[in-house]
Amino acid sequence: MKLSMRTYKRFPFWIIPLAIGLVVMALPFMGANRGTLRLVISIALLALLVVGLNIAFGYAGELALGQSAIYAAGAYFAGYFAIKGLDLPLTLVIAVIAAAAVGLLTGGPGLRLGSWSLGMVTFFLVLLLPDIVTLFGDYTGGTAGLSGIPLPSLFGQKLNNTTFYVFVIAITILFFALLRNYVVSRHGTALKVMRESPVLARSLGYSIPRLKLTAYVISALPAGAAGSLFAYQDGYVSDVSFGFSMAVAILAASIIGGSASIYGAAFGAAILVIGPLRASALQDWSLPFFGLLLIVGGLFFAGGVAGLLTRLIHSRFLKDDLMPDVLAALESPPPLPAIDGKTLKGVGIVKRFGGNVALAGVDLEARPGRVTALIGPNGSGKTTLLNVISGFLKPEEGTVMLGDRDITGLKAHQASRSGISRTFQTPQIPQGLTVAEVVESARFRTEPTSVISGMLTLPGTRRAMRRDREAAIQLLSVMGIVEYADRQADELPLGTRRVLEVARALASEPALLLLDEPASGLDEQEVEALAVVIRRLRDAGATIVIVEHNFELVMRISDRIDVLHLGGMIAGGTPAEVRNDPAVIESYLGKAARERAEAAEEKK
Amino acid sequence: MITTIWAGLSVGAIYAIVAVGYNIVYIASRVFNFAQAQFVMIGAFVALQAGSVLNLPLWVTILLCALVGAVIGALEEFLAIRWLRGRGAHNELVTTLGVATLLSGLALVLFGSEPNRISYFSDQAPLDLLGGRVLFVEVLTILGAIVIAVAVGVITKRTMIGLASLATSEDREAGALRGINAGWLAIGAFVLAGALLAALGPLVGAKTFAVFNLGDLLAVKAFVALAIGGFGSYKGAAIGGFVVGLVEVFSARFLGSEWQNITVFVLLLLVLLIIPNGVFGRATGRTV
Amino acid sequence: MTDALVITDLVAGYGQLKIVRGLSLTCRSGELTVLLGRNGAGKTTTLSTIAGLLPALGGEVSLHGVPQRGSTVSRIKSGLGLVQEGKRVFRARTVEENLKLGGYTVRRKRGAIDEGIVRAYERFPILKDKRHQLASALSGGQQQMLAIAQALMPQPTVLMLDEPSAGLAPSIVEEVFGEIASLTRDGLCVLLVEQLIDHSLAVADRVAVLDHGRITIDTEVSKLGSWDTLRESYLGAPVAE
Repeated sequence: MKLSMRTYKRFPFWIIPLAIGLVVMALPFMGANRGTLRLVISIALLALLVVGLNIAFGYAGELALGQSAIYAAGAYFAGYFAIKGLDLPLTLVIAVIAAAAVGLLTGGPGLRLGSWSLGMVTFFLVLLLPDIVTLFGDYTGGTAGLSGIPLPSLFGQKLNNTTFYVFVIAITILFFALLRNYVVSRHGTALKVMRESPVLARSLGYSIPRLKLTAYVISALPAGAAGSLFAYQDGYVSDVSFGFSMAVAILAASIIGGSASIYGAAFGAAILVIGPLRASALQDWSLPFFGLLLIVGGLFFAGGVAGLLTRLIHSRFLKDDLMPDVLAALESPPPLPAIDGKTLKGVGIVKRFGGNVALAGVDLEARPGRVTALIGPNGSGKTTLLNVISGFLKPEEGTVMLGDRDITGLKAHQASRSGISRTFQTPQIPQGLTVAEVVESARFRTEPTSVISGMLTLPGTRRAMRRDREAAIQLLSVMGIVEYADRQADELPLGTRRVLEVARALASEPALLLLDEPASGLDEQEVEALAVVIRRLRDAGATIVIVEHNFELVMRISDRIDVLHLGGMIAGGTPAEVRNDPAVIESYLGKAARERAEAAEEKK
Repeated sequence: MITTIWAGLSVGAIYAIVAVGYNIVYIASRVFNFAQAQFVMIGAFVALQAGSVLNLPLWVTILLCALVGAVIGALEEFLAIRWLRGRGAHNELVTTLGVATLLSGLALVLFGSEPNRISYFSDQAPLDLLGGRVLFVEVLTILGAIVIAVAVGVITKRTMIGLASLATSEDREAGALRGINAGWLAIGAFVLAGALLAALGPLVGAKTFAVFNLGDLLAVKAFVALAIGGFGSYKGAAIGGFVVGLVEVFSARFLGSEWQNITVFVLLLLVLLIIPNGVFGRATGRTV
Repeated sequence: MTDALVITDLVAGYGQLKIVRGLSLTCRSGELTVLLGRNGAGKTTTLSTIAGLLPALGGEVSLHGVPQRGSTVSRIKSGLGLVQEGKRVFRARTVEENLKLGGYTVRRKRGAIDEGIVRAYERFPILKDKRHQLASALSGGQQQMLAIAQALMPQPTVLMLDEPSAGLAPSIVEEVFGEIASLTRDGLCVLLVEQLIDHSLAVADRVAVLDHGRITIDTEVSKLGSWDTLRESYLGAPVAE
């Protein structure tokens, strides 16, 4: 018995984890004893820490080791204000705000440098905890710890063991729900794109520092909340609870459960709490054990429990059929919308690398409704020019105008936002996304929605996601690959990937489309299909600049060809003009070939 | 005042040597070895055993430490790094953190959490040097750090193996085409860095005692040294190490001991914000 | 003349993408073979596979009759040399350091590196003037010369060059090709991969043309009748006017 794709996509599967959560919440009414409830609370608190880490580490790709320090911040703040007489909801909010503040303070600098700097900064934070606690001894109780935290009260009502338990589970469910919504929203897709290919992310207009910092601060929030609950649970806060071994345990739980998942955090936390954290015989051996877990997990256990389950579900319980909107698009293909291309005008562009001049004052003009090809032998500067236009390189001299806007020297994500879209020599198709999601990822900046809207799945986000899907289906249909819409994109053959890249490039409604060697590696049929697509885009009004080595293709589809040689334009004109241009023949074939061609010309 | 400077330099020397260890491994294999500082801890415990149980002379102990460090370094590369090649820096960070946890955890299991006094350099009177008081072992550490940083820097620039690691670091494929076996270089780097830092164990242990979590703060402070000096620069590692040591000791003296780690942390945040590539580091551009 | 480099039915590519589809080619000692083909024909993939940088998906490569199945390093030690495209030298190292690195495999042979450097400076005097400069500070032509000199350091028996003309001004191309022409004199087997037809044919003994991953022409240069087939393979059939 397999589920159809339609059921899989449309059925509210989130009901299942929610139901499990509610059952767990109801445990005290089903006769669970106090010991069990304490155990479940420990699992819930660890799960909150791990689910936060998963956002930063699994989704955004930044290893943060400071969850335990942020946990501590939440606990101390909540504890302090609880002693001062504040209610549980207030102390919880304060703890979450404190967590966000710590996240901002460490994330700003920590995310500046390579992949390990955040890890080291946050690890340092964990080691710093005893000093900070001592330093603010008046508030934290110093090494003696913060004691005398009263029993939690909710709007003046004292909570007993049972009601506090219910409250803890409710908060855990709340955070899991918010974060689950966040990762299935467009923001989650954006994080995956950024993690897999920062270059692609920039070309789609994402601001990488901002995305990373947002994800990292979000990852701190559940840790803060967990801290506040911990303070009430124990009634006492001391820095020994939040040390190095806690930090390592959180990471180990994340890896066991599956870092790139939400529910995996609950699995990982449960396994760790029921297993090594509880067994007193293992107490002494906990550090070596966690160490081994990290080594083995890092080496062999890429997807964790959640990864295993997902794969199982996909292979065993899912039918490989088409969604209704895909079927509809196959039956009556939607028309290609008109594309509002703008004129690209580059003047006197100069780019040097060390002692080499890659571009020596290049002029280029590309108009709407035209295909402008850029050809030239290897090393002539074509890709450099494309990178200058799309903001991946900064020119030393010259200007680049798009329409009447000066875009010279804009960064890649700014250039993208001003209407430049591009494909890559090696197709950049991130892992873990469906074909439709790949196209949708280009609309993240075109129609932005807020993180909060994503977490709460507000109407704004729902509308945007519906339009994302519609746009994706439309473009995939125009490109003739709509039947793959719900397949994993990284399984596609190369030719289809290239066409998919073009679809993605169109999704942001670009004013200029840059195609970087789209035909390389394609067989003849695939090249033919590509040529049809490019012609249709041109007829729809797009401004297209194509860098390509396949001469036949360039000759057939281009309205104008510009020839680059040694960083300068040596010829330009219609395909027929360029093909017989002696300078072009020389640059490709050499001087003797030029002489032969000229001799042949004279004979005629 | 001068005494404080001596103290800062002697602490900074330790950070400098660990930072040199980070660099050796980083240059040859592009891995940031989270567990690097744990090798000092290993050395300290080997020295503890060698001194109090076996009663070995100091020079034999240092050789023994280096040997143990070399073997564990090779094991780390072989078991926790080699298989991850090409799978991104994050897995390496997780597995080297795992190695660090495993090592300090084993030390905790074997020797307990109490600091242990090492028999070497234990009964020495401070010397008067340039108007400040300093222990002989501290002078030795400072000199050792300078000698090691300069020597490793010179070896890297002047010898074939050093050049080969710089070349591999720049372009692994082009290195292979010149016949450079990057796998052996990586093992060699882990062995050298492991041996060097473990050999330092007796000197450091004399000051800090042997304790299981000795490597933890060392790891982050040496990282600060590297962030200041710039990744891959030995000069930067040495200078960065001394700067961190001085900042730490001076803030402890003038602000109080609970400030000594916090000021270093603030220093790290500032460095990352203002000069993310470090003083002697080079910005690396990336294109499509 | 003996067969130095023999390639039989080579299949290569990246994953499911097969770029070289059954290529066979023989290069002899003392001969310069030029492999022509437009961009995307599979030239670089062929060279990378011969050098062991990419795994062969089928077929065999042998050097002096010995099949090569090992790593790049072992093939270099067996006498293979490759000058990669794009003037790929170690830019952060000086000229002389680059040359030393070129001799890495013969570093234990007494005097081998010093003699190699002397030979390199004799061949390319400009490199001697710039010996202490960083390779990144050299001009494109000088970097190409350095790349060739570096590959020659261990005195390989088979040298492959990947588009040495790319990105070089015409006058420099002449100079570089002059040097390449002189390489076969000492019995070196040279496999030159190029896009420029005339420069290559002027220096080559044999010519092979690669198109869509297969050899379409394989003959002696002197027996090559017309260039039209070559030209078509690059620029397409003549446009009817």
